[in-house]
Amino acid sequence: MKRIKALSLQKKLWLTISLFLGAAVLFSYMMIVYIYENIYIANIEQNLLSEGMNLAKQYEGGPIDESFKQKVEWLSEISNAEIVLVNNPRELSACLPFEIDHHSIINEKEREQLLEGKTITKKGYEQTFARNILGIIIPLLDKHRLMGILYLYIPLASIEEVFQQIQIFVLSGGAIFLFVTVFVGRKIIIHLTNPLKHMEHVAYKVSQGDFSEKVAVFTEDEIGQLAKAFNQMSSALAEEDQRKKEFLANVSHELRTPLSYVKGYSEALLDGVVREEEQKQKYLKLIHREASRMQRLVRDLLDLAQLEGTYPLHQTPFSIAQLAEETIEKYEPFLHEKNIHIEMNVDHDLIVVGDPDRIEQVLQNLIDNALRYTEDGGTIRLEIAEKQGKCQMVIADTGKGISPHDLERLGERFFRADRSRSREHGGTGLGLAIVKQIIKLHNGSIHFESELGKGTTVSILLPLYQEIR
Amino acid sequence: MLLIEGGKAVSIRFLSIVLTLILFLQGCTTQTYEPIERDVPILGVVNLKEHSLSFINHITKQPLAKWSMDEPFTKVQLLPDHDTLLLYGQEMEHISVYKLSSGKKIADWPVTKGIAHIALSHDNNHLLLVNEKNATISIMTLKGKIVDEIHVPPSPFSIVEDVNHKRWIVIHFKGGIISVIDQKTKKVIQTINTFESAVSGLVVTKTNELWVGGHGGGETMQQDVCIYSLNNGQLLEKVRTETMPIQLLQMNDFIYVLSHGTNMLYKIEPVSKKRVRSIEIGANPFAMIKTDQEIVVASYDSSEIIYVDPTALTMKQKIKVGKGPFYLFFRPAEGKR
Repeated sequence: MKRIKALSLQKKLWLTISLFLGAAVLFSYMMIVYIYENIYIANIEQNLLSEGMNLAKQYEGGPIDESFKQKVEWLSEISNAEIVLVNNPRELSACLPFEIDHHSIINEKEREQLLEGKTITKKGYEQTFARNILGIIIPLLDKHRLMGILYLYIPLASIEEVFQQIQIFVLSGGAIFLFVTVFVGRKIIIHLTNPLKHMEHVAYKVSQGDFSEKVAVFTEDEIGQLAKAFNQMSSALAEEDQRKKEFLANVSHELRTPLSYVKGYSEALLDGVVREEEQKQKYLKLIHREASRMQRLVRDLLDLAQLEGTYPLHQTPFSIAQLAEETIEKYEPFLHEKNIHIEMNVDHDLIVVGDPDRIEQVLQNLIDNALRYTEDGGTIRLEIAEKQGKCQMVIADTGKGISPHDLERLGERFFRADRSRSREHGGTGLGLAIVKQIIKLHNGSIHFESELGKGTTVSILLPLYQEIR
Repeated sequence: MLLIEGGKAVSIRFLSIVLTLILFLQGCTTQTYEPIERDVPILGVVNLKEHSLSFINHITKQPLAKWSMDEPFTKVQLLPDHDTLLLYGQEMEHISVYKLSSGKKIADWPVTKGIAHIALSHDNNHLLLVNEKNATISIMTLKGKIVDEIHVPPSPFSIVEDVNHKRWIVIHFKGGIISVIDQKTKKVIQTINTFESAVSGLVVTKTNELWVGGHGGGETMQQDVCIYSLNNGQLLEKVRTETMPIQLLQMNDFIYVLSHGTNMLYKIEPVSKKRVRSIEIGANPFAMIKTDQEIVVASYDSSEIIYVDPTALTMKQKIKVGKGPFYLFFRPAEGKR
């Protein structure tokens, strides 16, 4: 069993096909033997019987006379079969039940059958004729007296001669057929399994990090589909690999900037280059600001890593409007500071199923972004309403907007529509990525709309409590 | 209802005793066949193919009874009381003793396997058991006790008594010999060469001859009855009785020879050895017996017996019997012994 498992698919297929072909050839051979046995021999048997019966009709009872003997002899000469007339009582087992030391042509049981007027069919070795025969014994009865028998037989050798020719034909034909089909079968199997072998080779390369090679797709069958899927998988892996590299580059870049600040300013302080107390305080504030930035960055990275993994949501039904209002309250000072007007239009009846802390994080990140990019005196609009059986949450600002090209990339990690300004504004570049991930975990959807100079609108759809029930 | 609570144990014991008793009684009961009354003259037939006995009323020529047995017997011998019938066969290790008048088996006399023929001695006092396998002639009392055993050459098949010379003549199936036993010394005193597969002999006192018939050995089929001198054992003559004359009997100064190969019955004048008459009879007939008036022939293949008029040698009547009639015996009516 282990050995079979260890065989290659090619060999397994080839072996299976060969076995089935072999079985088919064997089966046809057996069929021919069966037909020979049952039809050919039965036919000969029937001919012998009718010939014998016709001859037996010529016997009219009484002792077997010369004219009948001559008839038998004459028929024996012209017939294919050997016809023997036996009227010797000894050969007819007439002496039984005495134990005569003589092998009779018929035995006691056969004599009984013959006495009843039945015929006997014999196949196999016959001691009397010292060879294998197919024969029929027909009784010549004079009332109850078994006066003789007609033994019609054909040596099996002559029948087998016919069969031997068929056998040779069948066996050689079968062998050629088997050889050809097995050979052709092998070619077909190789043709079928070669793409698989190629895929194995490419898969090995992919595992080594080489995404350059693709599987050639020649067919549209299952193997062709598999090759396509494989290529897609390989491309996805390559993209993912690329994203990972970019991510690492981004992370290191994002960390490098605050680190440089911290290092530079702290060196300046340590070297005593800065003498004025006011200047020192300024440097220390800068160091503190950059350290906080790094802390936020690390926190966001951790959040994202958790959300992208198997993060357990603590789902519960809650009022989304209430959550939004509470969140907005926290931003009151900042809104006031920037003189930003907030428009709220929320439906208090809507109950959403989700993790309230995470949804709050979504709101915070989006409001953060809106605050960050909206000029003083602008407006932020927050709407919560039911739409198509779901809860739609819209946060729109009157900020500077995002170009259509950048809009597509929103939500990518470390992507910022305005790189230079963002860092100033204190964002980590991970906020929208986190938002997208949380919404995904809630089976919701997120959609961005923006026009340069006019502002950005973020629409979120979340499942309602009723819907789930 | 016997299994009432309280008396349970007693009832079970009672039941088991009853059951044992029933089984015991059943085991003891031997089969009873239809009795054959003593005052009816009968012809008995051994049907070899079905191991049965057919009884024919000799007067009415009607079948009287049929006893189907489960023993491999081939021949029978009626004792002088005309009521006790001995059943024996080559494969049996006992002689089964039956009473015709009661239809019951009365005894099993143990013997060695291989009994081919049992003859009653001329004085009606002893039985002569021919054991083909052991090559012995045993002398047995009418009570089943073996009193003497005579060793003879191999394959003894049948025995006849030569009353005048006080000898027993044994026909051997294999070896092509006849052995002569002196009744006084109980020793083989002479062996005579004959043909193979001889089966029966007839002592013809009138001519002081022994007529021997049989099958012939191997491919040779015996075509004649061989006649030997009882004085010196010389082959005197051969009488053509084709084919395979196996049964001989003497009746009213004629010898009758039955040949199974050609289904022929010959009537021969013993002095001139001329075939007086002949008749084609039965299908493969093996047995022949004389009654008070007729000769009866058993036709093996056609399962019938044929009454023959011995004078005209014509068939009088055919009676259907069991399958494969192989041996016959005749019991005259009581008082007609």
